Amino acid sequence: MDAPASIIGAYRRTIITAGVVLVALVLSFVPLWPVADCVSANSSECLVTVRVHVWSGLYDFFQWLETTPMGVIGKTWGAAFALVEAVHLLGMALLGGSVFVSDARILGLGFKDVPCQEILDKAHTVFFWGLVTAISTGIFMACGVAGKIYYLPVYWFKMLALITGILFVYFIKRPMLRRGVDNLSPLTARLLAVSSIMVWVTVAATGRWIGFAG
Amino acid sequence: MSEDNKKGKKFDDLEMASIAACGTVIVFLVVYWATQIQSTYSLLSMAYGW
Repeated sequence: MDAPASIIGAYRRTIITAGVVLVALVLSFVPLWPVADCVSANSSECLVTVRVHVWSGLYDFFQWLETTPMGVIGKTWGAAFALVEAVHLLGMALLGGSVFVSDARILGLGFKDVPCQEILDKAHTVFFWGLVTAISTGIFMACGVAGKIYYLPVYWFKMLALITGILFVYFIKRPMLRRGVDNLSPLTARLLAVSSIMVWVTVAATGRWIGFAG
Repeated sequence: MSEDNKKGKKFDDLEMASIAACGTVIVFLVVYWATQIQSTYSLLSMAYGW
């Protein structure tokens, strides 16, 4: 009985990571939640995924967002929205620049004359302020167009990518890079850099997509 | 890279968890963007008869 317990203990984080991925997939794609007042003869039609259930429950919140002072200003004063959007894009530029600089250094594609840890630490500071800028201005912008973005699948995908990106940076990338890139296997270092670039490119691309959708 | 890693040292827990998370992210995003590109191609082919 000791052997399985020691394996679970030795790979606790890996098991938790796999469990979180599995639970997320089940909640997103498996119909589990009963629909209220459903009259269909087929019982499977009276179930929705937890993702859809949570989305339905957020309707009132998004309606309320449009009535807040930020929502009213964003909707009625185009110049204010445009100015905040400009700052939002500058924040994203800071964030994206820091991600590309640090990941290019990890992949050995550039900045080889500067010590890796120095680039990673400085880029992370820029990343933090870029993220703070993008999120604070993003909340203002979301209030102004809350009624529109609620129905846009791409908006929710952006939120998923953003949350994944933040969790990825603070719970996976930074803890791993604190060990020093030289102490990581080449496979891990490359996977960290490639997945980081993919997540943040997706956040930027879906963000721009919102502007052209709906 | 360090000598241990060059020799293929076994991954520890945090490194395994990172590889699992990175792999999931990469697979999910590749599938998502491939689906988007495919649907765009389908729309264009319907519009222009490609």
